Amino acid sequence: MTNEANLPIFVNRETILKNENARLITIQVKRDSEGIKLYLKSPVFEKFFSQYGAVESQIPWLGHTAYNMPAGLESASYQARALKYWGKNTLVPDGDLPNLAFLRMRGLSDGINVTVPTVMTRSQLLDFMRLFKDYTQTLYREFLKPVNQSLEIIISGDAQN
Amino acid sequence: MIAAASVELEGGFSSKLTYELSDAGIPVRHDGSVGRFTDRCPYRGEISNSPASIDGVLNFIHKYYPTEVNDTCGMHLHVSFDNKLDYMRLMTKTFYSYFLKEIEAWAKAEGIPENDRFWSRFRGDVHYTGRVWAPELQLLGHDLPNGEGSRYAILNFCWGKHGTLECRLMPMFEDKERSKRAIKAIVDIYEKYLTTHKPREPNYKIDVVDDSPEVLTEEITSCV
Repeated sequence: MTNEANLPIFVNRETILKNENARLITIQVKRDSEGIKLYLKSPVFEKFFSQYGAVESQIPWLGHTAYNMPAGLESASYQARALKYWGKNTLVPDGDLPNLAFLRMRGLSDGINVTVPTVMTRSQLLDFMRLFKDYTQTLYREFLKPVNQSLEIIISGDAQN
Repeated sequence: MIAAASVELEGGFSSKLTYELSDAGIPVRHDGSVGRFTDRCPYRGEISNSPASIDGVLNFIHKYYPTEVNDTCGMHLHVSFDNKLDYMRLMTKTFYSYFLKEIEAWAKAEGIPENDRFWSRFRGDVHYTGRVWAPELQLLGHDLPNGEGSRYAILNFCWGKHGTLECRLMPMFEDKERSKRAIKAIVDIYEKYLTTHKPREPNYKIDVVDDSPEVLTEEITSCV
């Protein structure tokens, strides 16, 4: 059966740089009784955070939420728009960018697990993964890509099942 | 599977019934879409029960069914589910097609006449319950592609607002026993689908989904 009754409950997506044979990101999404479970593993975010600073906290203030923004993020409206949805239980708010609330978590190089108590359709799930992949590539290209040298950050080993 | 349910009943209410509702702490809420009734119904609008079991919903209908109904009245059923995967499994076109097919079969078996307002709602001719499939928009409360409000569809996946699936298909039947059977039919269709469309064992496949010169993206998908 290939109809939509067989909606995927588990999708694994790996993006590999061809020239350097480096794995930019592994994204696994599973839908279950608790909602959406994500597994993310990427050298890009930790390297980005280590160079530009991470989003460390959110500050509720008079009904608004402010963020301790690292310099790297302040200069990139692309990312700031994604942070607008901090704390929301939607992974692709308004069909826009992935919600990146969980990216303040450390350990992306080793892989992190995140549970988001929400629901998604098949197309939303696939959109989220595509957008997240695009986002990771953008970060890599804009901030981290070595000039005239091979990529240093290479993840070896298999992703978690 | 189904955790709780609530029904909205629209119609005209006699003074006696309104007093009974008041004693039970159930307000008759204003609803601009509900038309006028005879003089014996000075109150009009909609009532709903607190989330309950399906039996609780049927008892509510039995006890408080409006005194009069007409073609401006709808009966909307909200249900919540024990787990989120069940809700997601209903957010598919496969389920939508299944639902329409099964509910049509129920209506024919029920002997609902061709000129009954059920059929105009079923065809999507009624503004408040269109044949529109847009769960992604409904989850976020966004307008439908036809410009209508997010809930104006036969099935409304109002997760963001209520955490429920709302079925807006049914009219208020003149016969409250038929209305009770209609509620039961909707619930049976949900539960039968979830029971008969079980997740199957993973069947991995690898697709190259992005093969640009710089990157290679592989996708492994397993399905239910």
